[in-house]
Amino acid sequence: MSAYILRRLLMLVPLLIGITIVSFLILQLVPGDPARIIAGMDADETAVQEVRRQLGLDRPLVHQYLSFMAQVVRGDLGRSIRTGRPVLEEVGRSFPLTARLAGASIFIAFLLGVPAGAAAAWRQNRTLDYAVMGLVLLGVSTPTFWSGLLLILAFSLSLGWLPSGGTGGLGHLLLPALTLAAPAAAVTARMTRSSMLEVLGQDFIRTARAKGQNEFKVVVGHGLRNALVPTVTVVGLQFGYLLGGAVLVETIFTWPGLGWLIVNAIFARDYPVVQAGVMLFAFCFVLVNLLVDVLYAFLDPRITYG
Amino acid sequence: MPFSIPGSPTAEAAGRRGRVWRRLRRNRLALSGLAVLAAVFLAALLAPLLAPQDPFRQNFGLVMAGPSADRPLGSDQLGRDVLSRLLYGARLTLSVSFTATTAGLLLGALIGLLAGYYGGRIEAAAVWLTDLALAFPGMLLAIAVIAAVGPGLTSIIIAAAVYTTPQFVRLARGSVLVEKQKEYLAAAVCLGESDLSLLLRYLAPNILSPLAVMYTIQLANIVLIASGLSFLGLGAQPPSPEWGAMLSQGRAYLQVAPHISLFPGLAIMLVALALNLFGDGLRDALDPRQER
Amino acid sequence: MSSTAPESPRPLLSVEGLSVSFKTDAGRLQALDKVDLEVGRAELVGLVGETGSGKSVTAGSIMGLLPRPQALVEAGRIIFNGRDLLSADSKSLRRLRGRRLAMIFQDPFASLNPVQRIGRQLVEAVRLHRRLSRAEARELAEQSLAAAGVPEARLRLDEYPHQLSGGMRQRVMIAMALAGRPDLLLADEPTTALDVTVEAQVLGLILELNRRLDTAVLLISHDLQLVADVCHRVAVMYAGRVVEQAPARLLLDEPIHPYSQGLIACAPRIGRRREVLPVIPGQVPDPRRPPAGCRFHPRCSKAVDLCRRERPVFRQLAVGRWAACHRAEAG
Repeated sequence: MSAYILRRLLMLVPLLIGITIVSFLILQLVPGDPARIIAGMDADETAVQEVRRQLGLDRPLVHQYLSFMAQVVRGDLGRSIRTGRPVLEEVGRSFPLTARLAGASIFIAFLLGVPAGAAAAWRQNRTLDYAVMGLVLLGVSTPTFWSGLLLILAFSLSLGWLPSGGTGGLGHLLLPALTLAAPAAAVTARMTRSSMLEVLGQDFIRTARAKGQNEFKVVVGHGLRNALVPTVTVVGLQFGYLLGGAVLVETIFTWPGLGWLIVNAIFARDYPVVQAGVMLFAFCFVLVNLLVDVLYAFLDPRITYG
Repeated sequence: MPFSIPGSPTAEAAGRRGRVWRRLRRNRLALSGLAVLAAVFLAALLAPLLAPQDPFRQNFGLVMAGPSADRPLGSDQLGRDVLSRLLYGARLTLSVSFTATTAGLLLGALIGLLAGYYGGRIEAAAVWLTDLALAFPGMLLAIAVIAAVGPGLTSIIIAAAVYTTPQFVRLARGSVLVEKQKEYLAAAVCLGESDLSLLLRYLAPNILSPLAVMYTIQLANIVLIASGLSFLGLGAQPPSPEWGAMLSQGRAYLQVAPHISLFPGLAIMLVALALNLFGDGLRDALDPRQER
Repeated sequence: MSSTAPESPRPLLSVEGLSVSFKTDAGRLQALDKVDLEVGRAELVGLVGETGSGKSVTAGSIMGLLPRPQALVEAGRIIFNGRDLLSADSKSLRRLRGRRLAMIFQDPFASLNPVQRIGRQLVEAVRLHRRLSRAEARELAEQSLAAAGVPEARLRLDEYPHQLSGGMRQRVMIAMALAGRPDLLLADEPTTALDVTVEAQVLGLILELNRRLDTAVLLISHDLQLVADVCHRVAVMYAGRVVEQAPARLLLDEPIHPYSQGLIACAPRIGRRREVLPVIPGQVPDPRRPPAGCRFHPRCSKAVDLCRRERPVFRQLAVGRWAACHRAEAG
């Protein structure tokens, strides 16, 4: 098992390097002179030159990349152009908030999606199945920035039950998490359903019934337990969506997470922050996928004991 | 001289297409999706004729007015007619989404085909690049591209295309790898077919089905992503009647004039819904397991 | 070696006039058409037929495991231990399963849960029907495995199905099925997926368990020779009906129904003179469009006009000999 994990980690290295290259290139691809942009549009030539020298923008590209990498490894992600504070600090402050939001959303998505999908598979082609699939369709087609507004309209502005923005306790977390979770729950439900349908058609389900086991234990204990294995991988992909979709939800609910930070940084042309933020998100996504793969191997003994 | 040998893959593909079309016709949900799409397309095309007002004309007397007989969807915060703006906005939504998805399809399928067919270093490079692109959460990749090229309508087309190309590469390459195992390719090679001929006449037609389904589903995703980017202010700039941008502007007036945000969002949802419905129907119709 | 088991006064299982159909996209499919079958206590009965003859559906009906929305039991009774299973509610049926009625299936690999250890699946079977602690159940599971001829049973308990061989898995299935000491074991093609040598072992095991535990067995197979070698009595099915039933030896020596005759004549046997292997002409009828009259008449060399018009009744022709044929002459 540990050999498997080690192998997968090693395969990740070229990918991680690629991510840093892409993040590095963001600044390079910006139209116009990055030094001027950072120095300010009305700075004079010497100031721009100074910035260029300071940031090493006059050195060959590879050089720049290497020193960029050296800094990253040291934990120095530069300084935010907008606030002057270390990027690491800014990112470090906002990332946990996004993590909290994404975590709550995945939890909700799983909690709603898995039983819905399983129930739909159990009652295939009957009303419950059609209802679930209808909701799934709505879930993947509804823009989060719209559903979020609808929720705010309903629960904050009209009913006044929940706050419409900012951070805080559970009350502040609920609406954003629900908004973000909806499409993920839909995809989870769909995946669980198809996985369950496949499992429920297999012979060992028949055996379990032939033993005299009650229907619930057959469907959940034998059926769902097997169906969850491929569903887990989908959860990993959903996490990627959540990280990306967090940007929109954080904007609507003014939840000051990393996504919100990145978008603001783009408008402020605060490229160090953009670079660091994008890099961190991608790293997280890759790591989560690795975790999911390991979890998959853990759940399916055919892979480890094979 | 190209000709179709009966039973050859190209002839078979053509025969299958007839059956697929018939099966699709029977799926009423998919057809309604297609109908909605056609309606939106027509509305966009005929916007100048259908729009009751000039989408850019401000009327301070009607600022934030609710739906009325004159203006069925109300007016926005500058007194512009929401319905007219929606109609013109449809043009933006459709053109951006179709352009980006088509670009992604053509580029991605090309890369995937070549990578899968030739293998070796080309394939390794393509796979690494694709994995790299897919290591970034979708929306984030698009935002990173915008960060690099700056906001604007063309930028979101580029960003969306960058987002979707890897998906097509992966699909095309996977399909090619599957087809490569089949015997008809080996037979064609034995007959001395050139690479180009093999790619165009044999491989391309046979990977069309999964690509077509992916195209519709990606379209739906891109509609959401593109309007999302505009919502963030990274896409179409005011006073453009892009649906996402309209939604964003209406946010401030949510309590007093919810219709400003409500209707654009509804429009986005309807288009995405229709695309997903049609895509699902297309996938079911193309599913070889349903062949009887 | 086959022997004639003593006929008990009341059979353990009595299937009477069972008719089952399936609703499919292509229309209504008649799977079983008035099937009559009997299994006595501790008796070993074979059920032989080609694919599509309805043998698995018969077993499925007895166990109550037919796919619910599509399958429709149109008529008949299934009397087991004096109770009609078809009119029983699902709860009592479930209590019977595993406890009095057990079943093993054709593909032992697909029939075991791939992500659970063998021990756990066995213990589940045991504890469903006996009040035992987990430790006691595990002990019993180990013993059952050993009794089923699995070497190093204790080690096997912690393994996963994919780590065992085919024959071993089938033994596990048998051990699981017998955990509740059932009165009747339905074995649906238990050896079809196994190698010939393993097949003999597994059959030997079933035979031994029948003798030692007095468990009645309904052995379902497409292989007439195999079944006749092992069973006391054999029933032959064709196109959803039982067409003949007789003690094994008598069926082999003097088959009455033309289909049984054909089957026996077609069976390749070592030691026969080298000759062209006879075949039964034609094909098994499409279950959606069965022929009128006797289902076998299109392929029967003895068919007459009556056979084309009227369906023969399954009736007793001599002691222990039943057949459904207009042209039947009792030997």
